[in-house]
Amino acid sequence: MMNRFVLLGFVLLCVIAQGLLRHLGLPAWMIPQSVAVCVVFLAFYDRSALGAVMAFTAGLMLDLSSATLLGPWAGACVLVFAALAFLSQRLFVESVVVAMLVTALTAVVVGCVYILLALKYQAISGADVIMLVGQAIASALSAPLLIGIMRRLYRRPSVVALRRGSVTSAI
Amino acid sequence: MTSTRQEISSRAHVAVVSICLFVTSLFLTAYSSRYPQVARVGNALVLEIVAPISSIVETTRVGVVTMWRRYVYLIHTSQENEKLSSRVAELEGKLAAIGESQRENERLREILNFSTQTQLSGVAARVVGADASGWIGGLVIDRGSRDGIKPGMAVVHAGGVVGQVASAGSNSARVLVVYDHSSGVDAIVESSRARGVLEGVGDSLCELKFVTKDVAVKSGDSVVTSGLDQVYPKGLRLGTVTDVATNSGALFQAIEVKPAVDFSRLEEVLVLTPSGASAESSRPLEARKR
Repeated sequence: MMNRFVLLGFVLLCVIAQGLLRHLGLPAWMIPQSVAVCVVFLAFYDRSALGAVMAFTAGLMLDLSSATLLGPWAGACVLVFAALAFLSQRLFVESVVVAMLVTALTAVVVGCVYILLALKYQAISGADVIMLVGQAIASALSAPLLIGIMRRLYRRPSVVALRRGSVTSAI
Repeated sequence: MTSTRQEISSRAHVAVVSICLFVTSLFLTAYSSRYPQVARVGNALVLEIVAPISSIVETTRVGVVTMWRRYVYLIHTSQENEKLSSRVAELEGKLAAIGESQRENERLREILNFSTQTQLSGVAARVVGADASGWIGGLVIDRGSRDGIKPGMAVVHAGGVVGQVASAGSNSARVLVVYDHSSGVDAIVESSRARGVLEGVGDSLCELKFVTKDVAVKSGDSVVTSGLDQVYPKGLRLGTVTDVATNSGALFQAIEVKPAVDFSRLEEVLVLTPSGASAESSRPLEARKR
């Protein structure tokens, strides 16, 4: 349980870091979507009901940081988490390339679901699309590092077992 | 078989919880869109956490940026410095020119005021040179016979008498200053009214001669023109007595006078023309020379 709080703390730090990077003048499309990486990590290594709650909480953090609507990011995260949790059994989750591709896809899907839930689709522009794609690429590039840190923080038995190579026991 | 069941159960759990959470998120979205203050309160809580971190990061950022700009990123500094230096030099030049114009303006105004106050009319001239040999106390002015300047005309300044025109060219004239050895001006001591002749002794000094011993003259007394030499109008300041010496065997006192005009700073003068108060007093300089 403690590991989950530590992980959420790390996600919170990532969300804060995203805000600070924006404040420092980095364009939005260059900043990785850490919550999307977190969702991928949870879907890969914690496919449980609590994992869904954590994905929801991670999304809620992003909602709280934006101070506009509570729920769209949380809903998007939990929806994508559920989809990935079912798909992840068919994926080789230890592969860095797979993790990067899935993270990129997740970032795009989470972004799209958010747009739909927040009813922002009416005002979507080319710049939003560029931002979505840019964030997906940035998230994919940062995924190996972030997932590596999350795995170190989130030492659950299943994760440890996965790292030892006993994939079947983890599943 | 058991693991399969557990897996299915786990999947179902995940699905149910996910759906519940998704519905919750929809509810939250709808609720927060209706009551935006809910999101704001939540954000305020997040800000409480974020603010100290942001503050530390911002302080660090400012420090790093300052360090970078002041000590590392100095590529354009040299060029900018050169540009600014040349600009400063240019502006300093302009400023000096403006200052010079202002000072000249003040000096000319001073001469004009002097001319107005003394009811003297004349031609203002600029001092453009001095005697090249150094043996004669002479100045060159930029006005000559074309401007009505003739030898023997008195040359004055707001401070007092400068001298008289020794020779005049078409566009310039030479002025013999009062401290030159060959200069002589009929003068009186203002306080005692003692009359004498002010002669130049060189080194920017003059001597008031032919003042008898019985007249009290002391240092600090003003010496003015008497007007009797018919060159200078009466009452123009010539200088100040700096030393008075009386020899027992001599008939007259030896009175040292410092000219009222600072010749080292003289830049503009007024040449008094005949139409002025001393119109009839023009006389060839040679007549005064001894």
